[in-house]
Formats: sequence, C-alpha cells, structure tokens
Amino acid sequence: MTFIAEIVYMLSAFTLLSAFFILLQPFIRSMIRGIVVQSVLIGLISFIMAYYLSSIDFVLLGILVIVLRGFLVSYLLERQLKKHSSLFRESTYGIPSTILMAIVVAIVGSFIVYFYVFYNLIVTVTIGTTSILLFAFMMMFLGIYIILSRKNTMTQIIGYVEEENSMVLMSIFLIPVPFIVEVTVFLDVITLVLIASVVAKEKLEHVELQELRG
Amino acid sequence: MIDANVLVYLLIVLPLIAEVAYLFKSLPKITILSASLVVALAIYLHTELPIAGTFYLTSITWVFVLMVSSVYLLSSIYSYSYFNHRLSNKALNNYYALVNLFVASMLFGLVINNYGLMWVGIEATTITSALLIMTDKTPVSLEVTWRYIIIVSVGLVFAFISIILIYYHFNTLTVSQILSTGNRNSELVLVAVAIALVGIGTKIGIFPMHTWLPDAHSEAPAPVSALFSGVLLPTALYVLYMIYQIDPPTTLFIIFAIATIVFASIFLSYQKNYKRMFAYSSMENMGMALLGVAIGGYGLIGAIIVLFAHSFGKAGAFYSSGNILHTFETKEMSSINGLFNNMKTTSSALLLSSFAVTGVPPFGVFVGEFLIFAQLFAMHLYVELGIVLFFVMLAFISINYNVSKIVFGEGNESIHEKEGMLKIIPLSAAIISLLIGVVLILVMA
Repeated sequence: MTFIAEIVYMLSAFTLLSAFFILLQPFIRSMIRGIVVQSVLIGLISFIMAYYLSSIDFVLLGILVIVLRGFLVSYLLERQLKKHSSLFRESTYGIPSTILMAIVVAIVGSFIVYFYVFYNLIVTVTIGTTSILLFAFMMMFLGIYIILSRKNTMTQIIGYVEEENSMVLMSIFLIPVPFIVEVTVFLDVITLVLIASVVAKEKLEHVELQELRG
Repeated sequence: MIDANVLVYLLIVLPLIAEVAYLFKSLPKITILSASLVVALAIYLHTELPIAGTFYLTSITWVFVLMVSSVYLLSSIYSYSYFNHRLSNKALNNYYALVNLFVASMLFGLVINNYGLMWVGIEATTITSALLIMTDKTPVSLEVTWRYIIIVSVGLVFAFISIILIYYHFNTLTVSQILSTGNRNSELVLVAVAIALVGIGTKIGIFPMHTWLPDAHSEAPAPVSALFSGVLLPTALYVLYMIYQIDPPTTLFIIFAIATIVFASIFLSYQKNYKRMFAYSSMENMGMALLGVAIGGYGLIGAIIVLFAHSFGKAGAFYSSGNILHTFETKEMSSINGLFNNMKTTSSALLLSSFAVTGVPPFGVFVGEFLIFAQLFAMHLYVELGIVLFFVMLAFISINYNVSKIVFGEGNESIHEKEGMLKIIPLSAAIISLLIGVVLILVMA
C-alpha cells in the first residue's frame, strides 16, 4: 500500500471514530462538534484524492463539504440550540448498550453488504482496495442507527448528515466525482436549512401519536 | 418552428415564472393561469415526440407529464376555493408558491435526460412538498412532516448509492445514452437497480418502506393529498422504471409489487379514517403499477393506464374527502353517513372516485388492471395472478363498503352541499377517470 493510501485509510478510520463519538454523546453540542470534525476529515480526504488523482473536482468537493456540511449546518443547528434550552441534552440508553447495538447494526450490516454484494462484484476503487468502502458502509449504518434510536429533532438531523457524509465518502472512493455529488451536497444543505428553520422550531421531540397508528 | 427542447424548458419554467406574482400577492390566480398553460403545452408536446437531448421524452414520459400538469391545474383551482377564508392572503400566497415549486421539480424529474438530475428532481420534491403537508400547522401534521422528511430522505440516500453505481459502470448518467448501450447486463447494475427499488421505492410507498405514506396523505390538506397520491408517487415510479430498464431484476420487482398489494389491501381493510384508507389504496395501486412495469409487455401499458386513470380518480377521492372534512370536521368514517341526502354532488364524486380507484368497469383503472392480469396469465404466473386477484378484490370490497356506508343512510339535515368549484372539481376528476376507461375500451374494441 502506498503512503498516500495509508493516510487515506487512517483518515477514514478517524472519520468512523467520529461517527462512534457522535453516537455516544448525550450532549447535542458535542454531537454538532463531532459532525464538524467528521466533515473536515472528509474534506481532507477529498483534498488528498485531488492531489493523488490530479483532479480539481475533488478540491471543489472538499471545500463544499467543509464549508456547507461542516460549518453552515453546524452554525444553523447551534443557532436552534440557543433558542431551545430543552435541546441541550438528550437522555440516552447508556454507553455500553449503545455501543453493543451500534456494533450489531453497523458492523454486521456493513459486513453483510460488503461480503454478499460488493465482494462478488468486480469493483475497482480509486485508492487502496475495495475494503476501504467498509468505512463508508459502517458510517451509513451508524447514521441510520442514530436516526432510529434517538427521538430528538436535532439528533435525527445529525444522523441524516452523517448518512449523507458516508455517501460522499463512498462516492470519493468509487468514482471520479461527477457534478451530481456536488449538487447533492448543496441540495442537502437546503433540506437541512428548511428542516432546522421550520420544523425543528415547532416540533422538538418525536413520539408515537394515536392518530398515526395502523 | 420552436425547438422542442425550448418547449420542454418552458414547461418547467412556467410554474417558476408564475412565482413572480408572489410579489403582487396575486399568486393564486396566476398559478391557475400558469397551470392551464402547462396543460396546453403538455398536450402540444405530443406532436414533438420523441425528444432526446437535454431532455428525454418518449410517449410514456408524455403521459406522466400530462398527468402531472392536469392534476396541477385541478388542484390549483380546487385549492383556491378550499382555502378561501381558511388561510390568510399571505399564507395562501406561500401555499401557491410551494405548489408551483413542487410541480416544477416533479416536471424536471420527469423530463431530464440524466439519472443523477432525475434523483435531484425527486429529492427536490421532498423539500418543496414537506412544507405543504404542514399547511394546517397542527401537532400531528408537524410530526407527519418530520417523518416524511426523515424516512424519504434516508430512502433517497439509498437511491443515491444506485446512481453512484450506475455512473461507476457506464461512466455517464445520460439516460438516452445508457439505454442505447448494447450490453447493459452486469451484476453491479443489477445491484444498482435493486438498491433503487429500496431507495426510490420509499418515495413510491413500496412495502415495507411505505410507513410515511398513510401519515402524510391523511394529514396533508386535500389538494396536496391529491398531488401526492395522484402524481408524486407516479413520478417517483417513472424514475424507478427508467432505472429498471437498464437491467431488469424482474422477480425481485414482482415480489415487492405483490407484497405491496397484499399488505396495502390488508391495512386498508381495517382503517377508520377515510383519508388514510384512500392513502393505502394509493399504495395498492402503486403496487399494481409496479407489477405491470416489472412484467412488461401489456403489463407495462396496463401500468401506465392504471397510473393515468388513478391520478384523476384519486384526486377526485381526496377532493371529495376535503369537502367532507370541511363539513363534518372529522376523519372518522363511523361519524359520517347519509351524505347523499344533502351533498349529492360531493357524494356522487366520492362514490365515482372510489369506483375509479378500485377498478370498477368501465373506469380506466379496470382497463389497466385487466391488461396486467392478461400479461400475468400469458406469462403463466398463475399463483401470482391468484394472489393479486384475491387482494385486489379485498381492497375493492373494503373501500366500496366503507364509502357506501358514508354515502347512503339516514343523514344529517343540518349539512349543506358545497358551492362552485368545491363541488365541480371532485366530480370532474372522477368523470375524467371514467372517460379514460370508456375511450380506451372503445379504442380496444
């Protein structure tokens, strides 16, 4: 493995660690900081790939991810947080049980996807071996797990951003970034601005409602 | 002679141009004008088919474009009377601004010649339509909006994986280019199409990713439910069909389609809320259309007929539901009966619409379903045919039994029929669905 590939693997591992860090935080502000770190790491991976593949598109993608996902989204979420002190902390189920469930969901899920689907396909990645895709898969499952396990609007948004981040990571490793990935990064920000400014303002907790059964 | 691509541009841009009227607080009337122009343009576009360039329009795309523009027009007119005195002028302008954006994004998703941008169109419909659901701003509608955004967005992220894989394999996302490629068979593409079924299937309401659908359809205002059920689901299904054509995993699609029909029929059989019942009926019809798309041949023609006739029938059902909700202020079916005594037009529209969506002959959905059954029979898929027939019959009985209980009976003397467009539009939508069937039967005969 080349030196650059090793660095990319290391940064991807840190990205995954940030996903676990986000998952275990009961404090929303720490989760937001985690998302900033994660987005900056993905931006860095994108810059390295720009150098490795001599492609200016990756530079643009990196800037977009860092500026929009890392800073704009976190700014918007922090702004909501200031308005609603009830969003400051969310009760979680405790670290050991969360880790256990996350391992079951993320690791088992991504290994099934990887071994039963991608392992049989002839897929060449832009750097390293196909195993690098595992980081993206695990992050995707962790993002989904956050959405499923938390009831707070903010944490669900963070789970969604993490899931989107995993998609960007996967597309970086699979394809020379086409215009569409950049459009997605931009479009998600619009979605999040909408969500954060309209829905989150009026609906902070999500519980079952009698009217919506059946 | 104007270039066909320019006309298609115009089709998408017209609802956006109408937004200028927002500044003058006259958006409702301008939207109705813009919707009429979009319908006229959509009809004219038939003479320019096929179009392949920036946009990709075949005769199948054209049917979907006509469907979207027609329901856009009907909903624009109906909304004007429906929200009159219920929303402030500002709120009404906001509502119409969102409707225009919603329709423009649907039209964009339908006509664009790029899988990635199709996905963008579908994602854009989520953004624009989410705020329409919470027009009433009740706690339930807020919860529903949130569920809709989260579930559909997560689904669409999956669909994005499929787009990445398609790009990875073909090195392009241009629809016409990919569909004209000779050898499209590959395991990777099959995986991409299967992931698209899960991802875009979430937006269509395919079982088990359907959970947002009954909530959103039942809590959205009637004209929005009509747009959701009548045209948003078919638009997503069209995008899925375009991806399916690349390399069809037929069996997988048949399994999901039949599961959708089976579970939707079971769910709708015990509903107490009439809007929720119609929402599950949409799911059942989408399952039927997906089945038609999966089996191809006459099944595909049947699927398109089902979708086209269903869009008007279901719009009629939701418009009449809106009238009923306005009058009785409840969605519980048990609290309403004897509608025909005092609301003759609305109850006729409701009855005709429920006939339309359950496929009573000679409504259009019946013709479509008949073609799908014929194709299943021709392919010797007898077990599948038997299951589908049984559950379609279950849905038919459940819906028509519940609707007849609402329409007939003692009734309440204090209620009055709606006036003007509130009674004309639901009836017109149901009659259009009937006419589609009659014309098709005459043509086939």
